[in-house]
Amino acid sequence: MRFLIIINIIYIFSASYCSTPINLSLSYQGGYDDNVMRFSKKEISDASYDLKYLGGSKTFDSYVNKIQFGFDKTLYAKNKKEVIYNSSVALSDYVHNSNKDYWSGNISVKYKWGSYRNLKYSLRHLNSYYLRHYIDRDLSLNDLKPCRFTDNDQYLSISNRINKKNWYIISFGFLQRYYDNPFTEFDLNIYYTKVRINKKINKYGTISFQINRSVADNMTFTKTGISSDFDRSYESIEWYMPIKIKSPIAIGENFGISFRQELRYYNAEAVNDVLHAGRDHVDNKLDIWFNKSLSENLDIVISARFRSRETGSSYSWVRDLKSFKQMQLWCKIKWGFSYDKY
Amino acid sequence: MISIKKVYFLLIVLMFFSCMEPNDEGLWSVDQISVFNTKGFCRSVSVDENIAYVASGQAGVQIWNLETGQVLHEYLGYSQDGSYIEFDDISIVKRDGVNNLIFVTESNKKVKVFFFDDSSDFIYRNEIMSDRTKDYVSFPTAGGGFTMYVADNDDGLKWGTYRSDTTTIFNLEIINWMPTAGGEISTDGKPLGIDSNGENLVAMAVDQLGVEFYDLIFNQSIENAGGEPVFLSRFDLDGNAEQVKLVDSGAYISVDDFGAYFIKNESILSGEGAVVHFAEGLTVDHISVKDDIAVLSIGSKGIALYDVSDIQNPKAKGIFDVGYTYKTEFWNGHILICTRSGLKTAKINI
Repeated sequence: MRFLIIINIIYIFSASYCSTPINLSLSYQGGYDDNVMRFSKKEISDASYDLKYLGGSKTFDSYVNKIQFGFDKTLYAKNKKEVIYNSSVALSDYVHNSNKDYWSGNISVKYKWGSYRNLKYSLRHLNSYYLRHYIDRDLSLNDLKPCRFTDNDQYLSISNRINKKNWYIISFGFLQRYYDNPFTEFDLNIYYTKVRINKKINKYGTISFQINRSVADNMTFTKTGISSDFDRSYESIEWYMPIKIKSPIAIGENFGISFRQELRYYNAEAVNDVLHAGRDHVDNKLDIWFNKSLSENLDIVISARFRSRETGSSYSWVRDLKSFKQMQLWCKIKWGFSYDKY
Repeated sequence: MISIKKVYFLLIVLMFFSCMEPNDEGLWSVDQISVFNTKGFCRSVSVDENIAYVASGQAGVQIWNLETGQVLHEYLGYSQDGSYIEFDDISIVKRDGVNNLIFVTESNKKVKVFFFDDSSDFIYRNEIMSDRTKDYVSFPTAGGGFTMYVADNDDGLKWGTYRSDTTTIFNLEIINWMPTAGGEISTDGKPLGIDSNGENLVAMAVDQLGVEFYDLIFNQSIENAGGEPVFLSRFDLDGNAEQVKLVDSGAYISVDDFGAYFIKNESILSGEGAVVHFAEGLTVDHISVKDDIAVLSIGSKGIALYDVSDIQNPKAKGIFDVGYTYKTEFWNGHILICTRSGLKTAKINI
């Protein structure tokens, strides 16, 4: 609610001042997710004879509809200096799993003083994002309840040129991942740093390399019910390499491929917490996409994501329980236009 | 043209207001205050002021001062007809302070009556009721006796009013507690737990057949000082009814594997009406209730707390692993928890 109020205040504020146009965009994204609840092989097998684990859904996969509205406006411009405001709101509808429906949005304010030179503040909100049904151990021994969380992610980044073709971005962020009742024992404050180096290769595209370092503090550890006796704090390091290539053929304008790998280590060492103690995982995400402009204002992007998570633990049942594979396919059509009252 | 200072101001406002607050589950917490090492399993407790009379399983009968945390007396057995007999496994101990008595029951046995006063003498009197006694309540009567209602697993509801009887044989004074009135109402169920308000109602948990309620009828005679129970109503519940707890507004029933039930007074009297089912899925062995707080003993999982201020809609307030719990009792703003690792005192933080 507070987020929406802020958006509206900024909208009124920005629309009332400045003689620059407002750039708007509307996009529709259709997609397919083959493992919506990130079930492991073992869980898929278990759920097939105990449907309550599906939380009312009849399938493991789902078709997804997503509508996104974007808005940006230059609030200030003088010489090469600009202040640009940007915001967007997205609604996601999982056709075969209504638990998963959610909305998200973000706003950002960027102060720019040259090519690749800017200071940016961003606030992203992900509202009640459903994971799956879990047993609430605080209140029950077997009743499953929907487990959802809300993200409030803020970061401050600075981008600067190294030379004509290379630039870097350094970001400092604070992500609050707070779970809806009754799973507040998972609440996390996540502090992260990102360093990214980008290289532009003439005629071919760009290549980037990014390192993320995160420290997640389980802020409700021992502070709620019995289930908060387990520490869910972790540390992670992630590397990410996107490559964007200008297409040599007419079918698309840009191709892209990226690989992201996260290594996460849980802090828990309690012998009675076998689910978390000494656990780690490697989360791999391979993304490929291409985009094409259908007309001056209409773009199409087709993408796919292949994800696999391999969990490490001294206990084979934990490894089997927490490892999964996921595939997503997306097709996005984006219509952009401007409104200029002057 | 906008001033750049306004943008900086906006950034600061954004950062200040954009953090979010975590959700509050509204759970209660339990602070463990102390543990009294009863050696054996602490199966039940009966409190008279600040003194706890403890059934500590194979460690016999123990008497603790709850204020100081000191064990005052431990009795592993008793003398009868000149021989010493060890207790086997004590399951229930109840105190009758008015008559200076302690009632002791071993699993599935009769009720043993002991004299106990300030002198610390623990003197066996005699056995009353019959084998397979699962639970009982007693009330001192005006004539210097007591009335006891018993859940007898094979016979049904037994009751009796007892008075002290002294005989002298060979200059030996023998005191026994003899029945002056009593009886038995057989039931199709297998009685496991019993409670009474001592005024007009007896409730008995009868395993698979649910819970039964009995009116107490008084006829002014001293022999019938405790009242005679007459069948009133029965509610068949899912699961195995183990224990029942009467409160001013109705009755709470502990049901193995099926949680807990509440039946209001109007339904008890009429024998029909909706029952409130809560804590589904928990194996509830016992319930104690005070000031809108219900404490459910759930065996190996500890205790579960419920807010019963709106009894039509009890709210779960948390499961707390305090050890394998048999029973609980409210005492002086605390709860006494009978566990396999001893008698624990704890405070509930709301």
